[in-house]
Amino acid sequence: MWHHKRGNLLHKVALIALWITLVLAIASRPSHAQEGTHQAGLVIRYSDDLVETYCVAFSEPEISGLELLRRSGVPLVVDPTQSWGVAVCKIGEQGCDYPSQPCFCQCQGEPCVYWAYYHLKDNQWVYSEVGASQYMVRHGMVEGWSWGEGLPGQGTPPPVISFAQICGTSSQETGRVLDGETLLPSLTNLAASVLPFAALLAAVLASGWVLVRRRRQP
Amino acid sequence: MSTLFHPWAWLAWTAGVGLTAVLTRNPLYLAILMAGLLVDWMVLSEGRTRERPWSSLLRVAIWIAAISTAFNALVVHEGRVVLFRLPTRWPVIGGPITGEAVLYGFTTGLSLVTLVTLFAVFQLEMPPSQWLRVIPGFLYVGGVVTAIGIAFVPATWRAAQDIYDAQRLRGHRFRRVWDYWALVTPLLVDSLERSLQLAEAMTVRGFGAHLRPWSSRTQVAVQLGLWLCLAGLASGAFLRAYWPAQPAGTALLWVSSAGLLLLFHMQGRRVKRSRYRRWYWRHRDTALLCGGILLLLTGLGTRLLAPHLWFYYPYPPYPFWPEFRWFPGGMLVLAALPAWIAGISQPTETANRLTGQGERP
Repeated sequence: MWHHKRGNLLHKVALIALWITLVLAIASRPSHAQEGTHQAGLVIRYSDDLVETYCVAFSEPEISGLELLRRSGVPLVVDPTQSWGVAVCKIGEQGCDYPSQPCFCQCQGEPCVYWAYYHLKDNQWVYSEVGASQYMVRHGMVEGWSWGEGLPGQGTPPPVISFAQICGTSSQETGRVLDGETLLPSLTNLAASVLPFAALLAAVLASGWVLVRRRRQP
Repeated sequence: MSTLFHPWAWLAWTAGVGLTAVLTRNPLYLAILMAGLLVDWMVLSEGRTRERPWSSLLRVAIWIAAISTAFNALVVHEGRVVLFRLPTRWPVIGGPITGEAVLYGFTTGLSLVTLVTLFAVFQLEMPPSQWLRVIPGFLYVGGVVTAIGIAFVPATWRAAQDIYDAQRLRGHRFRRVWDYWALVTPLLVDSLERSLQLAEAMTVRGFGAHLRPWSSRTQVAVQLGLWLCLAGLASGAFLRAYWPAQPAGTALLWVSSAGLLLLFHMQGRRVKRSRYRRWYWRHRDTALLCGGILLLLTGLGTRLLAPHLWFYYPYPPYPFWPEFRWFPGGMLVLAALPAWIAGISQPTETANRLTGQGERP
């Protein structure tokens, strides 16, 4: 009975170890910057005085609005645990530091200031009815993000800038996927974090093993 | 049932571990806590058979953690470390499956399993009789309900196992889902019977008759006060949420909380309680109390002075890998303190505890 249980436990531990190894192996695989054949415009309005535009290139036929924002290279803080998709909490230096703060930290009543999401249609900004992770962007489209006062369903729209104005010159083009190397710490950093943890964990478990053995002795 | 530790020391240690488990989402710190609790479980449950239902509950918790990992990985398509992609035309689960989502789901599950394990270890040294005794007077009825609730899980599990064995002996085979009706119906009847027996036993022993009488005017005033304070709390929370800059909400919260505490104190003084057995404070209780206080100080101190040490969030722009530091990580080994103390107390005291002998009157 005991041997059977121990065998089961070893089996489970081996499976977990295999799973972790697999995850690590896949996670360690560096991804390469993509060459884009399609382009979409992106307008980010931080305030009335600060508006940035990006021409983002992508190789896929369509990507999500969130992916477009991410590929612009602007630092981004998101809350992926919302029931309706991914919420954008902070773009650049503007917004809320989720999860230390609520994602809509400045929209807890009135006034409500948050990042509103728009699509440029017929030279007019239209407030997005779906989240950025669900809206698909194709070549020639322009997306807008605006930090300002509003309510759910309406916000402060960014200035109207056409696709031709944003992607007119190739020098403005951005569009990159973060390299795998930047995501993983160096071996030295990893060892500095993992070794003390492993040592402590082993010490705690070993103490338990010794105590149980001691108690089982007649 | 005899226990090894003084209930107040045990509560302090549980509060320390529980607080740190709630404050951090770092999987490395949670793993240290979990390892310590597992060691406690192995050492303190040695020689006991009534804890088996809790080990079943732990298995369920591990399954829930695994489901939480898979669910988060399939539903949240956010992150930089893309493991693989599912076709985007698949509703909900279509999109990139990311390492961040896997790690965050795993961390959430680990947090849950740690808390369930803490609760399982807690009940090893806190039988319902002690639990009722440490509960403040005004919560006495709630305490009884909690104690019954805690005892209900293992009792129901044992009853389910007995019914399962009995049905199998009668030739019933559990193959499909609807075969389990033969288990559910007797279990329901058994639970109702146990509830009735318990209610009768409590009535016979005079449950509810140990309150000092109040005049009807005082009773109405206290009830009215309770309603007013609760309404004040709700209004204060509403005002604080919608007009955070206004001090009125915070003030109302404080005043209502103070009023509630006062009314609870009054109600607590009304309850007459008799105690027939003294609890003794021993050196090991001092050691456990110190461990609990250290954990509480570590948890709260880190939260207030260096909250980034507890912080972990794998999604961008934060680092994917959790960081481990000797402080507060090293302090978390105190989660295994009860097991170490129990080990030192061997062989006489622990053996006495297991056999129920040697306790002072």
